[in-house]
Amino acid sequence: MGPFFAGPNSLIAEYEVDLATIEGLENVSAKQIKEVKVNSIKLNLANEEELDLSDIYSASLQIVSGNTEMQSIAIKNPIESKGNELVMDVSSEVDLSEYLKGKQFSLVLDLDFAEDSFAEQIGAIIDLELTVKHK
Amino acid sequence: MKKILLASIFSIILVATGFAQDSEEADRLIGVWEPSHGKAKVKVDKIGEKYYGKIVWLKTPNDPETGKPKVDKNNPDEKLRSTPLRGYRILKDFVYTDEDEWTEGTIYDPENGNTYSCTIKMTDENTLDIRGYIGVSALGRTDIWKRLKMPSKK
Repeated sequence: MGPFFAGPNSLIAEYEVDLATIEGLENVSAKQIKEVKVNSIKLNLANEEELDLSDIYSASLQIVSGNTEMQSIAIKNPIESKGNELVMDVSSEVDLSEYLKGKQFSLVLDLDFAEDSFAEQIGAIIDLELTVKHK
Repeated sequence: MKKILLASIFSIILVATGFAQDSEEADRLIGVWEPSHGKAKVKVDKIGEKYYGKIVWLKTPNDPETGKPKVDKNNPDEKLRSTPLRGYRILKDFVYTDEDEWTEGTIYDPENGNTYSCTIKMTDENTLDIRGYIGVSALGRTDIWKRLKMPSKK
């Protein structure tokens, strides 16, 4: 998909929701979920050879699904870390319950590149830690 | 009885990829557009089956007070106020209906932090009527956006 130009570039992942595969939610059904808050989000760039965090001004993360509106859930601006891993600042207001109750959602990560990158592909791993209230 | 649990971390892998399948008529919205005030340029993309527009250019990219790139300082969510305006999605969740109209979306005004319901009407291939409103469409304001065209090759 590269090269990537300086400025905002988007990465996307579609996630098939299967509560049974999420540690801690194995025995919770969608109907039981009342509220889902984000505790922390960790971002890992997967292209350590071509790109690291010093090449990126900022990162923001959104969530969206077919039935729900897009919401911003985390931001890191400016990025002062080097290497490949950072902890993002998370929204305390957003409730992800409707996304986890659905079948699928997408995460959209916007990375603001300081310069053009000639990487052929860019990947990232997002680790989410959630607090779930349920019946 | 309500229970609270901390769901252990789960991971999702993201990659840069093409956003969605083509739908020729609806995809005419994809492109770079300039609002009438001329202070920004907005690029419309498709994610899933919906359309989103993010700011890709600002006439005044830096905040005169700080001298740094502008951020979303009016965001109602205090934790998100450091989000850069360049790259910010101000158009969200638009669905193509028919007759050159995209509906069910919202438009965000970074100057006051308000989000409005919004409809987009394409009046010709290079012109959009963007109508933001609260409640019913009759109570709103329409702005005209023009498509930015690539210079033609000689």
